[in-house]
Amino acid sequence: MEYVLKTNTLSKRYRKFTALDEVSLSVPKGSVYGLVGRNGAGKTTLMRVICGLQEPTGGSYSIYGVENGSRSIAASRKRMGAVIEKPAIYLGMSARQNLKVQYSLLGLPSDEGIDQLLELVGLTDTGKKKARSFSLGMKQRLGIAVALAGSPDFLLLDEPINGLDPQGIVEIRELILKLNREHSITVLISSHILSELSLLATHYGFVDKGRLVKEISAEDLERQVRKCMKVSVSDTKALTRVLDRQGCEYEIISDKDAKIYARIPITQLTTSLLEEDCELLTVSEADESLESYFIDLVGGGTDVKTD
Amino acid sequence: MLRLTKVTMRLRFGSLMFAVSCIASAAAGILMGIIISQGDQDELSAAPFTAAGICLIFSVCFSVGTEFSNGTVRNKLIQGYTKTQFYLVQLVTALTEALILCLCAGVPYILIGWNRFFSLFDTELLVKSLVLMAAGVLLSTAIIVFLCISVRNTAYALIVCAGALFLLFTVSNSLDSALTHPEYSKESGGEIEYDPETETETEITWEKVVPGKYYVKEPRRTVYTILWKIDPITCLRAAQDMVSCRDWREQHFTVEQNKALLDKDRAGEGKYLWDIDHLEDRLFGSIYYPIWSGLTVLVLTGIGILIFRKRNIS
Repeated sequence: MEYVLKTNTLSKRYRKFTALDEVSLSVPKGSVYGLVGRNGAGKTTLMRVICGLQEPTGGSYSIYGVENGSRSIAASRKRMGAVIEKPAIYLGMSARQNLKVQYSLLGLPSDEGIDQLLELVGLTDTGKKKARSFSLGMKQRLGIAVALAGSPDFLLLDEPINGLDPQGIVEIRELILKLNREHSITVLISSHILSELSLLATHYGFVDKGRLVKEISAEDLERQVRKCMKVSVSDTKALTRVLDRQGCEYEIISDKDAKIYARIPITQLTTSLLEEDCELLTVSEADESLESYFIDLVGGGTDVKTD
Repeated sequence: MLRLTKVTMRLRFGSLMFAVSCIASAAAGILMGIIISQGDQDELSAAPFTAAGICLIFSVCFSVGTEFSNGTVRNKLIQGYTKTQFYLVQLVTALTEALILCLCAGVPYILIGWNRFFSLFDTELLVKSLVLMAAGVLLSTAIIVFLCISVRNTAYALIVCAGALFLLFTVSNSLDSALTHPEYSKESGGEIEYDPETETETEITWEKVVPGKYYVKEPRRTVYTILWKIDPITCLRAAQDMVSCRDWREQHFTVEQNKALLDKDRAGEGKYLWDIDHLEDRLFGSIYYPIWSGLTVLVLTGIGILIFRKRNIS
């Protein structure tokens, strides 16, 4: 698998506070990688370090295979766009003027493509209106447009839906999906609104207290959080034989625990297990949500929203 | 880097703040030119250049502060420009702006006060003093850029820059005062002596050379002199002194006369007013002051770049 970004035990310390603690993650090409974590978990710091706004205090990272210590990292960064914390735009300028400035910075020979960018983010009709008087959603979209100037193939978005109204959230979500699916842009997006991320992400990285707690694909995560029956048995090998015979989908968690992804009568299961000399100890129904999965990973007291 | 310079200059020189700064500097130049041409003032004042400097503080603080408050500095860094390049581009842009503002202030000033200036001073002196004034403004600009990028907030940068320039003015002033205290001074007095035999009173007067009470001795004097020379505001003050009739033309016309006065004073004759070494340096050696303060500004810029490179951009 080709990776756009790879970090290797990446660390960032501010005096006594550790913002990033040996984070090792990999962002596959073409993915929408959701970085999940509560406020202050280290999501923004990770993005800032990747963008070169802050220097790591330990570890390394590579963008398109180019290590951060290399001289050509600047050239690699030209292939990415980013909106970190808030959109980086000149408030005293119109949307078009902002894009013109970005085009000049990138050394693009003409202003061709500005109209398409404005259309892509839905800001065609803003005319000479200054960015200062834009709504938060419009500013966010303009920030994304500025980040998209120069046609990058890797986009970093830090909490892009924070503070947006429902309409704005939908617009940004659709824009991100469009960029990923139609323009093949790899997206690294951070958020603590899990319900929104679940509609976008193809991969997840769970961050807590500066550490990457878990990295998982959306498919695997879906499998883990879907409705299932959690059983505890005296012998999981016997359980495996029984479930295989019945053609059920399952997952062995430990020596005694397993998850069964099928509706199966308890009496039938108990009888079948007894025939295999195995005792059914406990049975419970699990309907794990992304939120409870996250809480299981990082512990309680989270401020992650699932609205 | 050239591309970044072009974009930064386009943004800066197309801003409303720059237009207002140009108008304000030109207005100061015109006003002072009128005062010079009509009034009794017999010196080339640094006031228009000081006005240009104040306008520059506002313009630089607002533009650099906006880069940080809008977060647009991030776009530049993400696009592969280094922090060093960003710093240097800001410096080059601010220096260009300072030069333009100096021209806005200086050209109308000189043109309006033309007749008066040339009836008082020769061309060489005028050019030297104008170069010194421009150098003072340019060197102060580098300090302003250093402070703005270190502070990174428009309001704080304005306060810090104003405070720093006030400090530089005060330091330059105080050091100048300290260095002009005489090494020796003459004390004179007299007493009446009564002769009982002749029953007459005779007035006896005396005069003696005594060490100056406030004279700054070595090694403090060397430290003071270095500090005085590296302060960019000294360039502005020295330029003013150079073309000031009050201090120089009317009392001490040439260096030779100054030296002769000094020798005379050291021999214990005549009246010692100023420390002649310092006066001579201030008037005739001051053309080299920008080299001193320029070196300091270079070091400061180096420190500024190192600090900026180490600091995190939020």
